[in-house]
Amino acid sequence: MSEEKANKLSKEEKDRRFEAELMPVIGPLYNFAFRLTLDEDDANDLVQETYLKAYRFFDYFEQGTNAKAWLFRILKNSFINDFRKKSKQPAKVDYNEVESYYNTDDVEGEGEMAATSDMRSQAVQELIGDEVAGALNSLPVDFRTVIILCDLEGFTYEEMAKILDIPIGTVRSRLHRARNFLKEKLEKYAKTMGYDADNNGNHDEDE
Amino acid sequence: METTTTELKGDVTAANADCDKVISILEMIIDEEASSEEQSYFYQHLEECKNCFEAHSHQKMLKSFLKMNVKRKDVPASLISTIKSIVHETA
Ligand SMILES: [Zn+2]
Repeated sequence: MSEEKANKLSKEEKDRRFEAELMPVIGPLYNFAFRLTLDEDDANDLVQETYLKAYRFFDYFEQGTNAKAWLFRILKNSFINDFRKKSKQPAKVDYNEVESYYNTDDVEGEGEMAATSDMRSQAVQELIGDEVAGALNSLPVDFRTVIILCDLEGFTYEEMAKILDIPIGTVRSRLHRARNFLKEKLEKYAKTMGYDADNNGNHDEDE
Repeated sequence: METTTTELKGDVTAANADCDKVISILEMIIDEEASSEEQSYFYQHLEECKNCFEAHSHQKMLKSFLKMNVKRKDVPASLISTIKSIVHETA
Protein backbone atom coordinates (compact mmCIF):
# COMPACT_ATOMS: atom_id res chain seq x y z
CA MET A 1 0.00 0.00 0.00
CA SER A 2 2.65 2.47 0.98
CA GLU A 3 4.54 1.58 -2.17
CA GLU A 4 1.60 2.40 -4.32
CA LYS A 5 1.30 5.70 -2.60
CA ALA A 6 4.88 6.56 -3.36
CA ASN A 7 4.41 6.01 -7.08
CA LYS A 8 1.06 7.58 -7.49
CA LEU A 9 0.45 11.15 -6.44
CA SER A 10 -2.64 11.94 -4.47
CA LYS A 11 -5.14 14.04 -6.35
CA GLU A 12 -4.40 16.92 -4.05
CA GLU A 13 -0.66 16.70 -4.54
CA LYS A 14 -1.03 16.30 -8.29
CA ASP A 15 -3.23 19.38 -8.53
CA ARG A 16 -0.84 21.39 -6.43
CA ARG A 17 2.15 20.43 -8.58
CA PHE A 18 0.22 20.92 -11.78
CA GLU A 19 -0.66 24.46 -10.83
CA ALA A 20 2.77 25.33 -9.51
CA GLU A 21 4.70 23.99 -12.49
CA LEU A 22 2.43 24.46 -15.46
CA MET A 23 0.16 27.42 -14.79
CA PRO A 24 2.97 30.00 -14.85
CA VAL A 25 3.44 29.24 -18.56
CA ILE A 26 -0.09 30.27 -19.45
CA GLY A 27 0.92 33.75 -20.64
CA PRO A 28 3.36 32.65 -23.34
CA LEU A 29 1.09 29.71 -24.18
CA TYR A 30 -1.95 31.91 -24.71
CA ASN A 31 0.06 34.27 -26.89
CA PHE A 32 1.35 31.35 -28.95
CA ALA A 33 -2.22 30.08 -29.36
CA PHE A 34 -3.39 33.50 -30.42
CA ARG A 35 -0.62 33.94 -32.98
CA LEU A 36 -1.43 30.52 -34.42
CA THR A 37 -5.19 30.88 -34.59
CA LEU A 38 -5.41 34.67 -34.88
CA ASP A 39 -8.63 34.55 -32.90
CA GLU A 40 -9.21 35.11 -29.18
CA ASP A 41 -11.94 32.50 -28.74
CA ASP A 42 -9.97 29.92 -30.65
CA ALA A 43 -6.90 30.72 -28.59
CA ASN A 44 -8.96 30.22 -25.43
CA ASP A 45 -10.18 26.82 -26.59
CA LEU A 46 -6.75 25.72 -27.67
CA VAL A 47 -5.09 26.68 -24.39
CA GLN A 48 -7.84 25.00 -22.40
CA GLU A 49 -7.50 21.83 -24.44
CA THR A 50 -3.73 21.93 -23.96
CA TYR A 51 -3.99 22.12 -20.18
CA LEU A 52 -6.53 19.34 -20.02
CA LYS A 53 -4.25 17.11 -22.05
CA ALA A 54 -1.31 18.12 -19.90
CA TYR A 55 -3.29 17.17 -16.82
CA ARG A 56 -4.18 13.81 -18.29
CA PHE A 57 -0.54 13.10 -19.11
CA PHE A 58 0.95 14.83 -16.12
CA ASP A 59 2.36 11.55 -14.78
CA TYR A 60 4.66 11.48 -17.81
CA PHE A 61 5.98 14.93 -17.14
CA GLU A 62 9.29 14.82 -15.33
CA GLN A 63 9.36 17.30 -12.55
CA GLY A 64 11.89 20.06 -12.98
CA THR A 65 12.24 19.55 -16.75
CA ASN A 66 11.22 22.14 -19.29
CA ALA A 67 7.53 22.72 -18.62
CA LYS A 68 7.29 25.48 -21.15
CA ALA A 69 8.64 23.40 -24.03
CA TRP A 70 6.45 20.48 -22.99
CA LEU A 71 3.27 22.58 -23.03
CA PHE A 72 4.19 24.28 -26.28
CA ARG A 73 4.64 20.88 -27.88
CA ILE A 74 1.23 19.70 -26.69
CA LEU A 75 -0.38 22.89 -27.92
CA LYS A 76 1.27 22.70 -31.32
CA ASN A 77 0.14 19.08 -31.72
CA SER A 78 -3.40 19.98 -30.70
CA PHE A 79 -3.39 22.77 -33.19
CA ILE A 80 -2.26 20.54 -36.03
CA ASN A 81 -4.23 17.41 -35.21
CA ASP A 82 -7.53 18.69 -33.95
CA PHE A 83 -7.80 22.32 -34.39
CA ARG A 84 -6.71 23.06 -37.89
CA LYS A 85 -9.09 20.41 -39.17
CA LYS A 86 -12.25 21.64 -37.52
CA SER A 87 -11.48 25.31 -37.89
CA LYS A 88 -13.69 27.09 -40.38
CA GLN A 89 -10.80 29.28 -41.31
CA PRO A 90 -9.82 28.83 -44.93
CA ALA A 91 -6.62 26.84 -45.15
CA LYS A 92 -3.52 28.96 -45.11
CA VAL A 93 -0.85 28.50 -47.70
CA ASP A 94 0.48 25.02 -47.35
CA TYR A 95 3.97 25.02 -45.93
CA ASN A 96 5.36 22.57 -48.45
CA GLU A 97 4.22 24.77 -51.23
CA VAL A 98 6.07 27.69 -49.74
CA GLU A 99 9.10 25.61 -48.98
CA SER A 100 9.45 24.36 -52.50
CA TYR A 101 8.98 27.89 -53.69
CA TYR A 102 11.85 28.91 -51.48
CA ASN A 103 13.66 25.88 -52.79
CA THR A 104 17.16 24.70 -51.77
CA ASP A 105 18.15 22.95 -48.59
CA ASP A 106 21.12 24.87 -47.37
CA VAL A 107 20.97 27.83 -45.09
CA GLU A 108 23.58 29.77 -46.99
CA GLY A 109 20.92 30.60 -49.50
CA GLU A 110 20.59 32.94 -52.37
CA GLY A 111 19.25 36.44 -52.10
CA GLU A 112 20.45 36.63 -48.56
CA MET A 113 22.06 40.03 -48.62
CA ALA A 114 19.31 41.55 -50.69
CA ALA A 115 16.76 40.61 -48.07
CA THR A 116 19.00 41.74 -45.27
CA SER A 117 19.48 45.15 -46.75
CA ASP A 118 15.73 45.72 -46.78
CA MET A 119 15.80 46.22 -43.05
CA ARG A 120 17.90 49.31 -43.35
CA SER A 121 15.15 51.25 -45.04
CA GLN A 122 13.71 53.99 -42.92
CA ALA A 123 10.23 52.98 -44.00
CA VAL A 124 10.48 49.62 -42.28
CA GLN A 125 11.79 51.24 -39.15
CA GLU A 126 8.74 53.46 -39.03
CA LEU A 127 6.26 50.62 -38.97
CA ILE A 128 4.43 50.44 -35.70
CA GLY A 129 3.31 47.53 -33.56
CA ASP A 130 0.05 46.63 -35.27
CA GLU A 131 1.64 46.70 -38.67
CA VAL A 132 4.52 44.53 -37.61
CA ALA A 133 2.11 42.07 -36.02
CA GLY A 134 0.12 42.20 -39.24
CA ALA A 135 3.15 41.28 -41.28
CA LEU A 136 3.93 38.43 -38.91
CA ASN A 137 0.33 37.21 -39.00
CA SER A 138 0.35 37.18 -42.78
CA LEU A 139 3.11 34.56 -42.90
CA PRO A 140 2.14 30.93 -43.49
CA VAL A 141 1.62 29.29 -40.12
CA ASP A 142 4.78 27.17 -40.16
CA PHE A 143 6.92 30.20 -40.83
CA ARG A 144 5.10 32.23 -38.21
CA THR A 145 5.61 29.44 -35.72
CA VAL A 146 9.41 29.34 -35.88
CA ILE A 147 9.66 33.10 -35.59
CA ILE A 148 7.39 33.14 -32.55
CA LEU A 149 9.27 30.33 -30.87
CA CYS A 150 12.72 31.74 -31.54
CA ASP A 151 12.40 35.50 -31.58
CA LEU A 152 9.45 36.09 -29.28
CA GLU A 153 9.72 33.18 -26.85
CA GLY A 154 13.46 32.65 -26.88
CA PHE A 155 13.49 28.88 -27.34
CA THR A 156 16.77 27.30 -28.38
CA TYR A 157 17.07 25.43 -31.70
CA GLU A 158 17.12 22.18 -29.76
CA GLU A 159 13.93 23.01 -27.90
CA MET A 160 12.29 24.07 -31.13
CA ALA A 161 13.29 20.80 -32.76
CA LYS A 162 11.53 18.94 -29.95
CA ILE A 163 8.44 21.12 -29.97
CA LEU A 164 8.05 20.82 -33.72
CA ASP A 165 9.32 17.24 -34.17
CA ILE A 166 11.80 18.24 -36.84
CA PRO A 167 15.62 18.03 -37.03
CA ILE A 168 17.69 21.01 -35.93
CA GLY A 169 18.89 21.55 -39.51
CA THR A 170 15.28 21.98 -40.58
CA VAL A 171 14.69 24.41 -37.71
CA ARG A 172 17.57 26.52 -38.99
CA SER A 173 16.56 26.51 -42.63
CA ARG A 174 12.90 27.14 -41.86
CA LEU A 175 13.83 30.01 -39.59
CA HIS A 176 16.06 31.43 -42.27
CA ARG A 177 13.33 31.33 -44.89
CA ALA A 178 10.75 32.64 -42.47
CA ARG A 179 12.88 35.64 -41.67
CA ASN A 180 13.55 36.45 -45.28
CA PHE A 181 9.87 36.11 -46.00
CA LEU A 182 9.05 38.39 -43.09
CA LYS A 183 11.54 40.99 -44.22
CA GLU A 184 9.87 41.04 -47.62
CA LYS A 185 6.48 41.42 -45.99
CA LEU A 186 7.67 44.25 -43.78
CA GLU A 187 9.09 46.03 -46.75
CA LYS A 188 5.85 45.60 -48.69
CA TYR A 189 3.84 46.75 -45.72
CA ALA A 190 5.99 49.83 -45.35
CA LYS A 191 5.28 50.68 -48.95
CA THR A 192 1.55 50.14 -48.83
CA MET A 193 1.25 52.07 -45.60
CA GLY A 194 2.38 55.06 -47.56
CA TYR A 195 5.83 55.47 -46.13
CA ASP A 196 8.09 56.36 -48.94
CA ALA A 197 11.13 54.15 -48.91
CA ASP A 198 13.07 56.48 -51.16
CA ASN A 199 12.44 59.54 -49.13
CA ASN A 200 15.05 59.15 -46.47
CA GLY A 201 18.13 60.26 -48.32
CA ASN A 202 19.96 56.98 -47.83
CA HIS A 203 18.93 55.56 -51.12
CA ASP A 204 20.39 56.77 -54.30
CA GLU A 205 20.22 53.78 -56.56
CA ASP A 206 18.33 54.16 -59.77
CA GLU A 207 15.09 52.34 -59.96
CA MET B 1 27.20 59.01 -53.11
CA GLU B 2 28.60 56.73 -55.69
CA THR B 3 30.22 54.44 -53.17
CA THR B 4 26.87 53.55 -51.61
CA THR B 5 25.62 52.04 -54.82
CA THR B 6 28.78 50.07 -55.30
CA GLU B 7 28.61 48.73 -51.78
CA LEU B 8 25.01 47.66 -52.12
CA LYS B 9 25.82 45.76 -55.27
CA GLY B 10 28.92 44.40 -53.62
CA ASP B 11 26.68 42.84 -50.97
CA VAL B 12 24.99 40.64 -53.49
CA THR B 13 28.00 39.54 -55.45
CA ALA B 14 30.60 39.26 -52.71
CA ALA B 15 32.38 36.09 -53.58
CA ASN B 16 34.64 36.14 -50.58
CA ALA B 17 34.74 32.74 -48.92
CA ASP B 18 35.05 34.27 -45.46
CA CYS B 19 32.01 36.41 -46.07
CA ASP B 20 30.04 33.37 -47.20
CA LYS B 21 30.97 31.50 -44.06
CA VAL B 22 30.20 34.46 -41.84
CA ILE B 23 26.80 34.91 -43.45
CA SER B 24 26.04 31.22 -43.09
CA ILE B 25 26.46 31.41 -39.31
CA LEU B 26 24.98 34.87 -38.93
CA GLU B 27 21.64 33.69 -37.62
CA MET B 28 23.23 31.23 -35.22
CA ILE B 29 25.24 34.11 -33.83
CA ILE B 30 22.15 36.26 -33.41
CA ASP B 31 20.25 33.39 -31.83
CA GLU B 32 23.15 32.61 -29.49
CA GLU B 33 23.57 29.14 -30.92
CA ALA B 34 27.12 29.50 -32.24
CA SER B 35 30.10 27.86 -30.58
CA SER B 36 32.80 30.04 -29.06
CA GLU B 37 35.13 29.27 -32.00
CA GLU B 38 32.44 30.40 -34.42
CA GLN B 39 31.86 33.52 -32.39
CA SER B 40 35.46 34.59 -32.35
CA TYR B 41 35.86 33.82 -36.07
CA PHE B 42 32.69 35.81 -36.73
CA TYR B 43 33.48 38.90 -34.72
CA GLN B 44 37.03 39.01 -35.94
CA HIS B 45 35.80 39.07 -39.52
CA LEU B 46 33.34 41.83 -38.67
CA GLU B 47 36.17 44.08 -37.66
CA GLU B 48 37.60 43.96 -41.13
CA CYS B 49 34.49 43.65 -43.28
CA LYS B 50 31.99 46.43 -43.52
CA ASN B 51 29.43 44.43 -45.51
CA CYS B 52 29.24 41.66 -42.96
CA PHE B 53 29.24 44.17 -40.14
CA GLU B 54 26.15 45.75 -41.62
CA ALA B 55 24.48 42.44 -42.40
CA HIS B 56 24.94 41.54 -38.75
CA SER B 57 23.48 44.73 -37.39
CA HIS B 58 20.47 44.52 -39.67
CA GLN B 59 19.74 40.93 -38.80
CA LYS B 60 20.02 41.80 -35.14
CA MET B 61 17.72 44.72 -35.70
CA LEU B 62 15.00 42.48 -37.12
CA LYS B 63 14.98 40.35 -34.01
CA SER B 64 14.74 43.20 -31.52
CA PHE B 65 12.33 45.00 -33.80
CA LEU B 66 9.92 42.08 -33.60
CA LYS B 67 10.21 41.72 -29.88
CA MET B 68 9.58 45.40 -29.42
CA ASN B 69 6.63 45.67 -31.76
CA VAL B 70 4.62 42.50 -31.43
CA LYS B 71 2.48 43.21 -28.41
CA ARG B 72 1.67 40.57 -25.87
CA LYS B 73 -1.93 39.84 -25.10
CA ASP B 74 -3.16 39.46 -21.55
CA VAL B 75 -4.59 36.10 -20.63
CA PRO B 76 -8.31 36.40 -19.89
CA ALA B 77 -8.87 35.82 -16.17
CA SER B 78 -11.80 33.55 -16.99
CA LEU B 79 -9.52 31.18 -18.88
CA ILE B 80 -7.32 30.62 -15.85
CA SER B 81 -10.23 29.99 -13.52
CA THR B 82 -11.93 27.71 -16.03
CA ILE B 83 -8.84 25.55 -16.37
CA LYS B 84 -8.36 25.33 -12.63
CA SER B 85 -11.95 24.35 -11.95
CA ILE B 86 -12.08 21.74 -14.72
CA VAL B 87 -8.87 20.24 -13.41
CA HIS B 88 -10.14 20.12 -9.86
CA GLU B 89 -13.28 18.35 -10.97
CA THR B 90 -11.37 15.80 -13.00
CA ALA B 91 -10.95 12.55 -11.14
ZN1 LIG C 1 32.52 39.83 -44.96
